[in-house]
Amino acid sequence: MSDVDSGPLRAPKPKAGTCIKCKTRPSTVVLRHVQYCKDCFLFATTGKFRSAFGKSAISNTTGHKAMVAFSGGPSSRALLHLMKGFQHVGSHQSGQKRLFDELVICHIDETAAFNGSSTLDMARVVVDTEYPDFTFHGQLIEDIYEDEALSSIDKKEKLRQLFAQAGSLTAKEDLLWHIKMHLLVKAAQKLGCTRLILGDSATRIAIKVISFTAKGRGYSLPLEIGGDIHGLYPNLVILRPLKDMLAKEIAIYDHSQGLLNSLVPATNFSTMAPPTASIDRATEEFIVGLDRDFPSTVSTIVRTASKLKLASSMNGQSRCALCHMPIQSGSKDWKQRITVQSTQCTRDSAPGTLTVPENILCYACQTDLSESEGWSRLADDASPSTQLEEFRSLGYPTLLTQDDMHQRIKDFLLDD
Amino acid sequence: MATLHIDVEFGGGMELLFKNVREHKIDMPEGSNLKDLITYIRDNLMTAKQDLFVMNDTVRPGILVLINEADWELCDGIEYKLEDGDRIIFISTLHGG
Ligand SMILES: [Zn+2]
Ligand SMILES: [Zn+2]
Repeated sequence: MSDVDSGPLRAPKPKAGTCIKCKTRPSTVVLRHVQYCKDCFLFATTGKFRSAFGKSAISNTTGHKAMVAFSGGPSSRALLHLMKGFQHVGSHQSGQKRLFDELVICHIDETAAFNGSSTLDMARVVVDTEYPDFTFHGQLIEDIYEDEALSSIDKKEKLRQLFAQAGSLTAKEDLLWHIKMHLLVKAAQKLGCTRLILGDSATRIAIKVISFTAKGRGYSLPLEIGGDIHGLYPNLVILRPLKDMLAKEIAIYDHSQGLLNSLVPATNFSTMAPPTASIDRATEEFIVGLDRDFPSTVSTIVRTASKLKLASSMNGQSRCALCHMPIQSGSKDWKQRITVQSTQCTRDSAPGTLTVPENILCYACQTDLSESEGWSRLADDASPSTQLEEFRSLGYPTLLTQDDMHQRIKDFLLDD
Repeated sequence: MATLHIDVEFGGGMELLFKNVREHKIDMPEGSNLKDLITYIRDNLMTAKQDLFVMNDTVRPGILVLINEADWELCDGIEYKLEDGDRIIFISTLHGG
């Protein structure tokens, strides 16, 4: 054993004792060095969920129609069940009305990107049989292409081509996530939802903090992990009520409620992928491994990252056409300074560093796209309006409206 | 030598590693511990991707183990001595949201 292994931070082998809450029943769960019995664990979990809506509970719930993102995996499965309890308590406690007017459960069937068999019916059955008070909304990922002239087969093919040309697994995972987020936001807005509830756990958020930083997404990180995000999308607030729950807590909750039998199988790029396959997978492996030996890892990362403030330079005007996050101005200069462009003095610029379309894409999306086949066409064109057209012609979705576009072009004209 | 009848269950997506079969009945020789069971599962129930289940002679981080409904961290973990009729559940806590 090395010194590190026997250091004070490493988890001591817990001895089964009594529950810290009721101090009578034997403990069956240990979380962050603390032992609970099953009943007290469940009580603490539902209490934590309710308090996640926090001080803003009333402003965030009453009078609002909310959309819950439901992939059918362990986190969103727990989220759905906890939402049911939350709505139920709210409707039975007179004088304490803390519930949403209506809940829409949105499942995005992403199987077209992987040639998998559809998950839409499974998700619909879970919602219709167990949560009849909620409205189910199924969304096919290929419907990112809204062109009505395209058949469903055409759309699937177009999507497959987009992913095929997207480059590394990291770029593909990022693209998949942007498309899903894009579809959720569009669906929420279309159905009149003013709240979008996501199932990010503390473990997932800790993984995001590290992997997003590694991918150059640090600038917009607070928006990607916050529990109550206003102003990112018009008339839509993003809520993450599971952000203080560990993946382990969620798994135990799912098991205790008998929810593991009705999970929708994950079929994305990194399912069963080796740990070195992408930045996300490698980070997941790193964080989860560290957290097993040092059970404060996830909470420490989440607590530290939650103190991050958005840069004051963020003006909300310039948004990335792909991920919709604010664009940090000057990233082109910064990227050129930190990048070894060429070891040969005769070459004064390397491909891809000359004209970067920083008017339409954030730094991280530029990096992702630089692996794709359409990059050179995009990078060579100096005008943001034609860049945007080119970007769209490659099959990438964009949340930008006509107004955003005009704004973008105006910025460009003023800059030069 | 007596045989220990162990009920093994996979959940949270882990069953994908086991031909989508969630419940298994496994016989282990008397005196076996959890580590022996994990090794047995790796060598007899898996044909591929063993490293997604086992790493460094224990389960991969991110897999929760319940021994008769109790967190394995409260039951000696990998050194737990199996008893006849034990129910061991392996749950993947990651992948999918
Ligand atoms: Zn208790
Ligand atoms: Zn972006």
